[in-house]
Amino acid sequence: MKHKYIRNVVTLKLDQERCKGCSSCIQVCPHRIFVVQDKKAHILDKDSCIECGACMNNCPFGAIEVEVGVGCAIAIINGAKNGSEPCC
Amino acid sequence: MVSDFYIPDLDYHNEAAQIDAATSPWIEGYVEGPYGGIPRLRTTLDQKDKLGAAKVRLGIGRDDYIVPPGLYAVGNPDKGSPVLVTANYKLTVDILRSSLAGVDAWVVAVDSKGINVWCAAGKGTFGTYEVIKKLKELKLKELVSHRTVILPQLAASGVAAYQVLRNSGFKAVFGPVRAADVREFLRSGLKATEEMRTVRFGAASRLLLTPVELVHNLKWMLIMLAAMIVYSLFTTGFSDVNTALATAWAGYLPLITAIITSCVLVPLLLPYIPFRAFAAKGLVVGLVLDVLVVTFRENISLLANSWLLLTAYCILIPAITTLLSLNFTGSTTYTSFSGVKKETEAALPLARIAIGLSIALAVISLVL
Repeated sequence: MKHKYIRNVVTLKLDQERCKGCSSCIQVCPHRIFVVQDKKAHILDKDSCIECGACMNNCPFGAIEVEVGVGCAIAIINGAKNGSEPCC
Repeated sequence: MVSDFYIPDLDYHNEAAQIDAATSPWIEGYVEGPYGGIPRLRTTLDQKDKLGAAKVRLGIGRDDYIVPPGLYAVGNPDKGSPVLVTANYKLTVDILRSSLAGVDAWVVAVDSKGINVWCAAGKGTFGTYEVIKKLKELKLKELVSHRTVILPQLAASGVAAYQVLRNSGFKAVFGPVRAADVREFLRSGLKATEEMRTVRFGAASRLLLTPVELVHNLKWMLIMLAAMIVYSLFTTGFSDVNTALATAWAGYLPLITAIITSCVLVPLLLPYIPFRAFAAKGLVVGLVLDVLVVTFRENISLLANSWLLLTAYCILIPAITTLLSLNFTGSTTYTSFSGVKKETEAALPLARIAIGLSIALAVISLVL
């Protein structure tokens, strides 16, 4: 059974102007949310994105932007408590 | 183009070479490299490795389960053998080496500070700079004649493959997510199937995570037990300690059930519990437990005698299951930062109010 998480919150953005269709994002995405069609990447299933940043980090053209963070409540609570970045 | 990751050529430095095979059973002798001996990883796990794995799964000694970073061999590698990059968490290295029986390869363990690949990539300890530094420090260009290194796919959030190529001369290829697929990946000429590239979170993985959840909550289990004993002593009087303890134990059962349910059943039944948000899943489970508590209240003398305390329980139990379920977000493979932030900000204040209210009601029920 496929796990489904909260809808319409993910910060992932793809700038197709910059995309050269190199498929790096497709390779690294752990949840397989990209496809390349007509030499451009497309986001197929944005709600499955976990904002790990693998695609952004490996895009040589800076076409992907995402607010990277860990999906961990303890990290978020600790971050808020210490006034720092979320940290486990 | 000027790069952020420029590292000059470095002198040979291999911390792994200092391992004494005689006292490290996971090392099986040495192979000769251009700069001296390179320890060879055994591809079988012994009792000590399995015990170590069991301990870290329980959360014991997890922060100190480390192998020296550096260069290792598997089998009898030569200049043409593949190079596999991994983390220096011992559990990670154990899973990798036990998946490589019959393979000849070089293994580079980066200094991920003893953290697994995915978490270290997220934290930045398994990053582009560290990978390039290790490739230079280990003089990889003199060890192998090809110019390809294989990285675990889950290192991608920390390692930019195009930067590794630009600054080390090695093409970084992302291999499969799971070590178990590395052999097939090598055999197929570095082709990963969709299956190999997809992160899963099956029942077996979820089950493996439950012991550490329980251990992390031992403190709360004991605090609640202590609180129940004190409460019971005040209710039944201090003259008959046995009755007080029996009363406390009966009253403790719904609370410990809430904790164990959240730590074991919620992870196991995760995709089958309604709602997407973990806090909502926890709330559902808590309300089910509430129904059970109300149904069986006559069997628990403290609750049978006090509507106030029963109300306190019915508020506290969903708060416990909500918080502990929310806590499990960090152990899963499919939650996003934005999603967890949203549900934490919504659920945490309510859970805190609920806990405060239930404690207040419990205290009032003692006085009345």
